[in-house]
Amino acid sequence: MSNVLEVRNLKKHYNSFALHDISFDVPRGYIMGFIGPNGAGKTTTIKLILSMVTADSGTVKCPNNERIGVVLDAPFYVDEWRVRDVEKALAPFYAQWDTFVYANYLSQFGLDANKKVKELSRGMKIKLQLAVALSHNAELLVLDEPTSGLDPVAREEICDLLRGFVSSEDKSVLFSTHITSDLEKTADFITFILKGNIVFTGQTDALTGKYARISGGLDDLTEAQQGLVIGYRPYCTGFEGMIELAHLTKMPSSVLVEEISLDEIIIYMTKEVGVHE
Amino acid sequence: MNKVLASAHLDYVTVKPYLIIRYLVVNTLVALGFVGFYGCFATAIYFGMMVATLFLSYPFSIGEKNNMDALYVTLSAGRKKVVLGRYLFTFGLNLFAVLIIVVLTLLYQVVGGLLGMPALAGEQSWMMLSLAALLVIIQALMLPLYFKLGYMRTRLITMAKVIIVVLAYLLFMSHIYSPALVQILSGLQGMIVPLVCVTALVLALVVLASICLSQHFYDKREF
Repeated sequence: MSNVLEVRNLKKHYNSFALHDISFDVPRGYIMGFIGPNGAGKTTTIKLILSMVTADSGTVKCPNNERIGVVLDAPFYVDEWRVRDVEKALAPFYAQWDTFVYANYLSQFGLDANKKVKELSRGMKIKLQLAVALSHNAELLVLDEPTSGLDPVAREEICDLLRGFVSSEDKSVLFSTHITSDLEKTADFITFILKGNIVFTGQTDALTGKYARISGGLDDLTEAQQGLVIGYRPYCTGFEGMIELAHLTKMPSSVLVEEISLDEIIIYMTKEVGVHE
Repeated sequence: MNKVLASAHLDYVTVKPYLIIRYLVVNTLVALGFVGFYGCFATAIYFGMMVATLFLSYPFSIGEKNNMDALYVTLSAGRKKVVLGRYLFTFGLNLFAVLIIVVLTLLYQVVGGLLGMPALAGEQSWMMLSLAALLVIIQALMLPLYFKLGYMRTRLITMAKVIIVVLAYLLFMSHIYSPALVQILSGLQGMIVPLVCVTALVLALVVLASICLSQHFYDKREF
């Protein structure tokens, strides 16, 4: 399996935040979800990949900008532009720009070519960025929080579109979000970043299959067993947390073990990091 | 399309919605007013370039307001070509301003001639053209700062800089009638062609240095 994007040992230090040795690959033909809570370093990593900021060290191997489609959380078109002006402004930068494809996406997304950018809702602005990103035969789409602030229907629409995009095997997507439900249906691979560190990178099933949700009574666990529970949280009547399946044999049979969602993995991991700081 | 041209075109498309016709008409009328008042065609060229210098900040201010630096970086042009495109746009802006003024001044001459108005005098032309050259230098000084600091932070510095440069020029001009300077200038009057060539060369070098500085600064910017 070849990679369309290879990130190796990226480091970036700010006064109040740092990225440490970020490494991951986006395999060609797949959707990679890039998850983590707010402030974990997702946007900084994406900015490093897109050369918006300069890394202190490390390398990024990716297609040239002409073959990358970008959708950012904060739209970057002039408010006074009409939707048709966006094409006039950007098409000259792309040798493979396809006016027909752009017009098709505008029509599919219900975007009026005469409307001004400032008159579009957030969802429509994201769709406009997507229409541009998909109209120049990009082989990699980089999306930074495209679904945040959108209603479930619009989110589903975007996820459908991304699934369609990678149906051609040479196209890939790096999709950053903190709305993990979008990824559970869409992403083949997950990279999980927390406080500037990569916690996990690999197949989505491997992440959800690695952990389980665990709960039980307050007296069920010894101190040593509590230490194995990630994000251990005691209540007045019991506890809950997350455990690696490999450690399950060390737990008493009285505890309840359930499947865990990506959301819960993020929550427990974040709690765990908070506990140890 | 060549990526530098595409960048210059992007700047034009960026600024276009803000180029309100009535604003252009008002500026044109003011320029013609200057021509009529001073009776000097070069005054209008100077005025046109001054307006162009004001418009020069538009791609920066609009870009900053709309988060467009992020867009520029993600485009396939590369930062150096974005900078070159901005300089090309600036050149086009100056050229456009000068062309409009030339056309309007010629019209003014023709219509004025038909109406029996006095013809435009040319004695102030060199002074005004030297001011226009000064504007090119001001633009060349402004652009690297915009690329380094962005619009908001540069605005105040630029205003201060323009005032200093203009004051320095006025100070220089106020001494133009000193005997030594008059002697130098009258000596130079016989060498108009070399003088123009040297001035053009100096301006070209200043602009080239400005481009290099801008590219260096913009390369280091983070968005």
